[in-house]
Amino acid sequence: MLKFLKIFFLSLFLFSIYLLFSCSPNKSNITYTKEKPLIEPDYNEIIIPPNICPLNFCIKEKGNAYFVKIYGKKGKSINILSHKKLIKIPIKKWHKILGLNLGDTINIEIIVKKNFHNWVRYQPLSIFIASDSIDPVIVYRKIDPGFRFWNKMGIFQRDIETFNEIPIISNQATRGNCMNCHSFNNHNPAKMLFHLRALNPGTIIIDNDKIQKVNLSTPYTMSYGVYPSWHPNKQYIAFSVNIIRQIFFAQFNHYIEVIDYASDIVIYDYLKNIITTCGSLSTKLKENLPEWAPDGKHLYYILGDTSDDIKKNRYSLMRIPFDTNNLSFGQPEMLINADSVGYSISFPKISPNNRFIVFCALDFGYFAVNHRESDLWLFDISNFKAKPLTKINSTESESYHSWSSNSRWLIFSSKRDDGFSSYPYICYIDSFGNDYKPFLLPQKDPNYYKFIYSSFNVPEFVKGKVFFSLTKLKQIALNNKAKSVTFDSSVNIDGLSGATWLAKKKNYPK
Amino acid sequence: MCKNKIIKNNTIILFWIFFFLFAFYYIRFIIDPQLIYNFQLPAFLYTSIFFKQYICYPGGLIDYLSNFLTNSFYYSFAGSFIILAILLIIFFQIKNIYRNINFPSNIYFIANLFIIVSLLGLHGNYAYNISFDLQYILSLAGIQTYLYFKNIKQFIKPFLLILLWITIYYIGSIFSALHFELFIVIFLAFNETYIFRIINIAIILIVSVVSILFVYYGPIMTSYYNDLNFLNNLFTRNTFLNFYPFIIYFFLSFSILLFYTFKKIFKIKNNYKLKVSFPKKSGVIFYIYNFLIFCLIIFFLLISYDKRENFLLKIDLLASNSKWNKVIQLANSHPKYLTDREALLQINRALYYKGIMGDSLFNYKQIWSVDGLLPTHIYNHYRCLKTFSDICFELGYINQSLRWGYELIAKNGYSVDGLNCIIRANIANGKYFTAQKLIFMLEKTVCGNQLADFYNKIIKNPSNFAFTLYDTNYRIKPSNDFVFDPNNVEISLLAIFNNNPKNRMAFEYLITYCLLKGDLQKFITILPLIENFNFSSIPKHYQEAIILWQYINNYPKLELGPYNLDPKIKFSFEKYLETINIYSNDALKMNSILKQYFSNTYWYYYQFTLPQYYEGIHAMGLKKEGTYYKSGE
Repeated sequence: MLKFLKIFFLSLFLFSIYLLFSCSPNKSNITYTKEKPLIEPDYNEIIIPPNICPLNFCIKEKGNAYFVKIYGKKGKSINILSHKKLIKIPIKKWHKILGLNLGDTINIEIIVKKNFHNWVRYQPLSIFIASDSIDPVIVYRKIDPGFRFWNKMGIFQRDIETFNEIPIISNQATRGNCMNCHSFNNHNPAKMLFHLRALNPGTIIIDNDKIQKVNLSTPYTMSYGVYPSWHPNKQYIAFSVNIIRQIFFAQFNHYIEVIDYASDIVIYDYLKNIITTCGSLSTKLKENLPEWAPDGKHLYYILGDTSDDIKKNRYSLMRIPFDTNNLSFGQPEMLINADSVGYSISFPKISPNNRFIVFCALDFGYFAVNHRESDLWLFDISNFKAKPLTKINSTESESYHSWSSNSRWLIFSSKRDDGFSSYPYICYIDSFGNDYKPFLLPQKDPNYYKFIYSSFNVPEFVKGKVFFSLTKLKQIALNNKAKSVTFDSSVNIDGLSGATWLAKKKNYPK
Repeated sequence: MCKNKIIKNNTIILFWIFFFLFAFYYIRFIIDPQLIYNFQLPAFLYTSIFFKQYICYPGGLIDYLSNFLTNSFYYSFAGSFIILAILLIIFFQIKNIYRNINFPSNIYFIANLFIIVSLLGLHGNYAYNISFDLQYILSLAGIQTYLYFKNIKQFIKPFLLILLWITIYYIGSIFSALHFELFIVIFLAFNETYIFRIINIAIILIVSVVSILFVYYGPIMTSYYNDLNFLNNLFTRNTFLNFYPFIIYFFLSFSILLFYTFKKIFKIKNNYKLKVSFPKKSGVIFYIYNFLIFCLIIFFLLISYDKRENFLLKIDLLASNSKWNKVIQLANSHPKYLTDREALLQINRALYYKGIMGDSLFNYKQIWSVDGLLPTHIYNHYRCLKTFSDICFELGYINQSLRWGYELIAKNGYSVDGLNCIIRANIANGKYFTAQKLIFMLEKTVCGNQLADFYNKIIKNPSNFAFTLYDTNYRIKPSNDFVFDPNNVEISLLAIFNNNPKNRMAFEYLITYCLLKGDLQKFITILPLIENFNFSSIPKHYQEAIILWQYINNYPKLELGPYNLDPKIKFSFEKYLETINIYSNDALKMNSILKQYFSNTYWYYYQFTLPQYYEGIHAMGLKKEGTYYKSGE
């Protein structure tokens, strides 16, 4: 009996050894192919920051087992043997291999077991690790793609070095209202604002521990504050004020358009609680999407005409000098004339080194996310030349984008994956303004984007975790009435044709 | 004595058998689980990402299970079995608990009956979610487990309590845990020695407070559900949860409390079995007694379910399956429920498909006027979103159909209906890669597999496309661009029609829109287009409108081509005018007589219903509809 048991266990041991070796590839059972394997998301030949989380992926090649080897010139390789197509890379080993191969390439070798003995080895995929790191947190709003209705939504922060996603606030905490347009001052997580709409409306402005809720609407402005931009070193926030409507087209390419019947730009001093503007920013034309230059000496914005034909309504790129000492503006300057270039400009975003502006170029209007033809362009402030970012753009909409604090990384929303949800893509921009192949924000489960239809709105890089008292924020958002702001009495009201003109003449369609 | 006991036991068993048979019939044929599914449109996907959303907050697992089971309600029989099984489980659990604590059997028969009948009655409200049943089952299971181990050593009991409480709280949320806790506190208060009573009660209270605080400041604050307050939004998680269900759920604990108090007051020993007898003079009386209770239950259940909602959901379901005859039959049998916009939208759609829109439109009081025909600027009826999408799709206005599909999915999540609306519109628009992703999601739902196969066939083999509705709608969709104006829907309808003059639905909806809006001049302008659609005669309501227009404009000449006006309708109009003249001094009487004889005419609509609509009847309707309005618009 004992002998029998010995034989049994010995056989079992040998069989296990056999199974172990037969389940992993070795030189004798591998055939080679010159093809590169298909993986999803596509991470081949991309440039990644050294502090990015593991690029988990799904192998699109058919097989019974998969062996993945990730290796660089330095350090130990990461070997993963899996019977599933989903490849999840161990996070510690990943960061170690990235740290050792900074400024160099790492390879991903995939070997697929096609049948019992035969393994096929594909050409390795290569990923370049840039020496420029990326801001560790991305903040975005997640919302389902409705137009008048919504249900759950929230503003989330995602740790880019891991996969952790935490809500900064969700509308479950604010009785289901709408929240939008989050914005940070200079990528600083302690200075943030966002709007609450519908129930308990107001703009929440967070400056370190001070949280206030303000009502930016005055009798002399046409609406609440809408699109914001923080002044980099003063207490000013530029807002557009807009009369916005949605319209629906019959044909496919532009089935919805968000249009402004009117818009102006106002400046809010959040310490003095005063709103002001000037004649150049409140004309009868449509000033919109303000964006401060990183040095605070210019305010960039877009300017649209008031053409009745929606499809001829194009926006030009403008800037106006700003004197921070006496809060005064100079003469506006047109940087790109929409009529002469033949496209409309939207969401100008200036790199923190004050060198480039990336904007959306679309056929008409400014609400890029609804325009399939919307592409990202780069404008060089040093020579006033604009060029399309061809490696970034796709046949679907590329819309909201944001620079990292070191001006090397750009995150943008793209609908290329399914045509209706915008997902965050990251790409490298070198010091000459050249763009490189973008990659989808990695998720722990590579199939994540397949089973959601939520859009990631307004992705913004932040230098650290957003951290403030949620209980206090909830209390202010829900219970506090928004503090009224006053309109600057020193502004010559009658001299303005924009905001005040509308306050007197409210004849826009509701 | 023995014979009486046998009669009693058999009668009670028989009673319960009949009761559960009736319950099945009631659930399947009166409530109809498919209607519950259609009302709640629960989101559910067989994916780990979807599952993970539910494990990050207490009660998530029950919500997940409840969503899965409610999805099975799509198949009525499966749904009926599930609800029946839930009731049976609760029935046996309660019976077991009552027995375990020596509760008098004759009283627990009534108590159990009260709970089961009330729960069955709750399912008659279509907003009632079975997650509450599941939470109840979980807490009862916890109580049963505790009672099963009631004789274990005293020092183990606190650990058992902690384990049970935390498990119930995590799986079933605070509601289950509180229910469990209340029962246990009552049980401990009367069954343990003084010192253990104090220790155990203190432990369970401390554990509950610490757990809630831990969960609140731990996973909840860092999860998507950071809304949850200390009590896990006990009252707001489901707006339906009000005082009445609470009475039912906590009835068990209160009955035990009463029982123990009674025993304490009258100093009845623990091992004494209190006996309360049914009448036992003879078997016949006992049968009659049970029969009367049974009849009372049937009566209670038949009057308790939401008939109006049942009607609306049935109309919607029949329309979704294109059973237009049955829609009209159902509408004719329940005229009092035809005040709802959703119902009128579907009935008008059914009239069009049966080819009798021009003849029978005003047989139904069109109190919603144009809003009862199409999506207009009044859009905040969230339960109409699917119907809006359907109507726009059938009209060939694919982009609007897509828009309402998106609105539906934004409101209801991953429901099969919402996915269906978006997929079909994208296929009709030729945007296959968008459709494919959604089909992939549809495959992961409980009841969308067949639909997913159907769409996959269309996408994989475009030659299949030509034989489907999608091709028809593709062919009638606009080729020129225009803007949809919800304030002037007739402009959009005219544009759709001009894009494709063979679009009969666009024509009939356009002309009906003019009638409902009271725009006779535009109606007369459009009328000549009727010749393109092979009408054998001008439909009745069109003739009524023509006569009215002629009357208002002093009888101008009107060329009707091959058609003539029916002399009977002309004569009827004369009678109508005559009635007005006769009762011109008594408006009330005039209205009542005209209503009696002419309420199904366009003239009556034009003179009475339309002004009411414009004066704000629809606004009142909106308010009424507001019960279904949720935040998020």
